[in-house]
Amino acid sequence: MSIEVEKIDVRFGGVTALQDVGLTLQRGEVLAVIGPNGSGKSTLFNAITGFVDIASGSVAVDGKDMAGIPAASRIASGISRTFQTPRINPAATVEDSVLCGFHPHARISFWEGLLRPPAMSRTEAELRRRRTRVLEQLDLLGFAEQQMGELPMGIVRMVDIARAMAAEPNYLLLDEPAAGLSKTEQNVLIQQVRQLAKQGVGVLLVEHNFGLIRRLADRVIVLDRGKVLLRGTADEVSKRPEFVTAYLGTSVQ
Amino acid sequence: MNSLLMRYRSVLVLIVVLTVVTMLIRANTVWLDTSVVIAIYSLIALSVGISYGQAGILSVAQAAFASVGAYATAIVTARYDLPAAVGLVLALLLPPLIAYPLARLVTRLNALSLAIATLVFGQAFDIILREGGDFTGGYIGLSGIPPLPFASGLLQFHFVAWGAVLIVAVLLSNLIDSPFGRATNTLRSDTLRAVADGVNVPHVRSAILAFSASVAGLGGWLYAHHIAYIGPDSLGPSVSLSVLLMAVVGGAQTVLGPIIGAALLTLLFKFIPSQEVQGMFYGGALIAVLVLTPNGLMGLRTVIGRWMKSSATKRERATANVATGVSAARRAS
Amino acid sequence: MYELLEFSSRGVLLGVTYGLLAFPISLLFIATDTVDLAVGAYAVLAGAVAMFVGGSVNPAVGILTGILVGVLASAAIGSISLMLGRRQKGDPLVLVLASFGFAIFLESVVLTLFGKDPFIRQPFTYFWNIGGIRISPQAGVNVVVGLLLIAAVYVLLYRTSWGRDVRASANNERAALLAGIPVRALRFSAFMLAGLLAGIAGVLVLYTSGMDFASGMHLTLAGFGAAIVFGLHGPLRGFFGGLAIGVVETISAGYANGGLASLVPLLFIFLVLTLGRGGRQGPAGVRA
Ligand SMILES: Nc1ncnc2c1ncn2[C@@H]1O[C@H](COP(=O)(O)OP(=O)(O)OP(=O)(O)O)[C@@H](O)[C@H]1O
Ligand SMILES: [Mg+2]
Repeated sequence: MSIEVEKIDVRFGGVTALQDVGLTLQRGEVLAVIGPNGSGKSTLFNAITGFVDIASGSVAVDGKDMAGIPAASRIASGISRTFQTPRINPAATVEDSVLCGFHPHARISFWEGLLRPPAMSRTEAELRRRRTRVLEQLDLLGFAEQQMGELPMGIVRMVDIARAMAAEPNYLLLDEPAAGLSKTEQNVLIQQVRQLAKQGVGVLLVEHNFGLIRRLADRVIVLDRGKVLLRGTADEVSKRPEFVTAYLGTSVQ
Repeated sequence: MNSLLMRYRSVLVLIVVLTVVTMLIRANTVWLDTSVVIAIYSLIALSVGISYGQAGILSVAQAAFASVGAYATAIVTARYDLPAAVGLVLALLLPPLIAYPLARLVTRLNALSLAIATLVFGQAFDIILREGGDFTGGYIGLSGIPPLPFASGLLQFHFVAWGAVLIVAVLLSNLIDSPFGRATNTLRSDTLRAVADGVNVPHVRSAILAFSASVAGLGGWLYAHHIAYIGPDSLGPSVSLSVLLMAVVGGAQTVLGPIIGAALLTLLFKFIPSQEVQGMFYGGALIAVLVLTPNGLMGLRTVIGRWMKSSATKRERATANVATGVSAARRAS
Repeated sequence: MYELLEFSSRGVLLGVTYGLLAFPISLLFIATDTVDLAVGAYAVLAGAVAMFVGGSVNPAVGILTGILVGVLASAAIGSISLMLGRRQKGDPLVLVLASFGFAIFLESVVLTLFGKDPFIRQPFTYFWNIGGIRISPQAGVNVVVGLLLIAAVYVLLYRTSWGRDVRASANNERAALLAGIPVRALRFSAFMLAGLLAGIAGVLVLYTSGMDFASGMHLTLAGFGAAIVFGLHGPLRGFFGGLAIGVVETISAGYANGGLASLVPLLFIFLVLTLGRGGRQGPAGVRA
């Protein structure tokens, strides 16, 4: 059971954002993607989740080719993602935002929404219980009734992660989840990601903080200008000279 | 129990107001007639609230959907002598049967294309009505639409029309407080966010537009049986504009907003001197409302609420600034 | 065969005016990412003023006044857009809604001031006879004005710093602001230019097929159809889109029912909206 990305290319007009990129993400492992700004990390996420089209190559999830499957169906079938800049509705409360993450499990049709049969009230009650549990896990219960627009960035990011976790995905793609988090929040995040991996969730992670990657990732992929530069464990990668040049920014003139 | 009260609070307010108003006007035919007109406009304005307020679909052809309902019932009752109930079924079903495929074919692009598609539909429907010969009555329209057999008096019609508004208000309240409604709300402000939640955006948009078209069709059905006549100008583009105005004035995102807007503007329209300057009034008022109170009268509540809360600490204000800065950056990227 | 050619030439006559209406629409789309539904109303206003001032003073003064009034009307929606921009966080639909309101507003102004009768002027009483096909000299005027305007718009958009800034601020408003481009002033000037183009188109419509107070929405849609048939991103394409729609419309009016022929631009638009590029499922192409 894994996500298999094979030799994908992604182009935006003249710009080649990804070229010949491949990776395997097993359920239960944590894989980190690193690379300088503009190296194509977010584009890789978008390609896997169907938010951008791939020009060639393939993405398969649990052996099933994803070509032609729209983004929403990929999410609904068990791949959740966050965005590098959280997409929030500033007027929504934290609890309502997380409730939206349950969408793939709500299984409520338009007609049920309109007529509100008793079965729907039961589902709703169940979703609300599960929401409380997710908020508790991420230490967010205290913020439940606040509006997203009133919260500091770190909390907003955690809520976004909670929203992605709510769907109980098999694979979780986190785009720079620790940016702007305090030390305590980072620890909560690390603990949660480990917990998820232990439960068999495959986690793909874009992260700039190498210390955090060392603590968390089983393997690392280094992207540079849309190509895979290196693969290996965090320790292996960090010793390679190419990594030092690429990552410390000399290639980003 | 508490959540039940919360969900249906708008409906309860409406019931209380209606009871009082009915007591006051039950013997006055002029006011009863105005009340029926308000109920009909409320339905069409609610249909705007559903599409524009809930899903952010700008439909500039809601009156055309109402017109579909009105013509359907006019043709089957006045021409083929079928019961008004048959007309009702058609008025409820035909508009969504047009709206769903229209939206499904077009929403693949974006909200702007769908707005244009509704404008295309409205114009095309107008041409078809005028060129429709005997079937649609052409430029002259259809008259002699029979009154509803179970509501031949104005007072009964008043009850039927407001009953329809109440039913729609209950359904809308249900929808808003459901996963489907939450998904609708998310896609209004941010389509990509909705996709990342796993929401099938084209289906949700189309279903909402279909529901809204059906509500407009219901309004058209009442219109036809109340006025006894329907023509191409009865529910034309300027009515599409005025119902948009009503919804926006009252607050399109709320259940009560469109109804308040419909009541307010119908009463105001009574004082407009001539047909010709109506457009200036509607158009000017719409622009003024968009510029001055983007969320309508119901939106003023939150403005006042926020103003009262703004005695919050400096720290909170600072964090809010950070967050709005972030969302500004997100919009720009 | 001659008949078909004659219909086609009449179609070109009509199509040029549609193509001209496509300019302001694609210009505003490029500059502001929205569609101004009142473009047809500026054209009607300009046409009506040109006819009445032209009738009582002299045609040239009428034409100039008409175009000027068109520009003033679009300046009004330009200011509205700036006011909305501050409050509505740039939601393009709000401007569409406001412009719908403005279109109906102008329609009612024209009805009140100038009445219900059609506005039309046809000063040419003779026809050119080219290979047996009768062509009104007005066609010549329309084509020449159309080509001149294409050239002018092209130069303006692609050969001046104004054009470069407009295109830049449309691509990325924030980056443009950071680069010191006066985005708001540019938007406003784009509206004024759109009004100028719509005004000229309105005058040509007045001298071609004519119009009445309620023609605005149809003209907007014809211009919109012209603008999107071959893609919204370029004035030249809009011009040829206009020609295509005009020709198909007159041919179907000639062979089928005249009233139903006005459905043609609508069908064009609908087809492009459903089949056009970017019509795939999913939000691909949007920056996530
Ligand atoms: N939707 C898009 N349209 C056009 N170009 C894009 C789009 N998305 C990404 N790009 C380009 O593709 C390249 C890779 O961008 P991407 O966002 O994937 O990089 P990244 O590694 O995530 O960078 P960062 O560290 O800044 O997040 C960049 O040159 C970017 O400008
Ligand atoms: Mg990125």
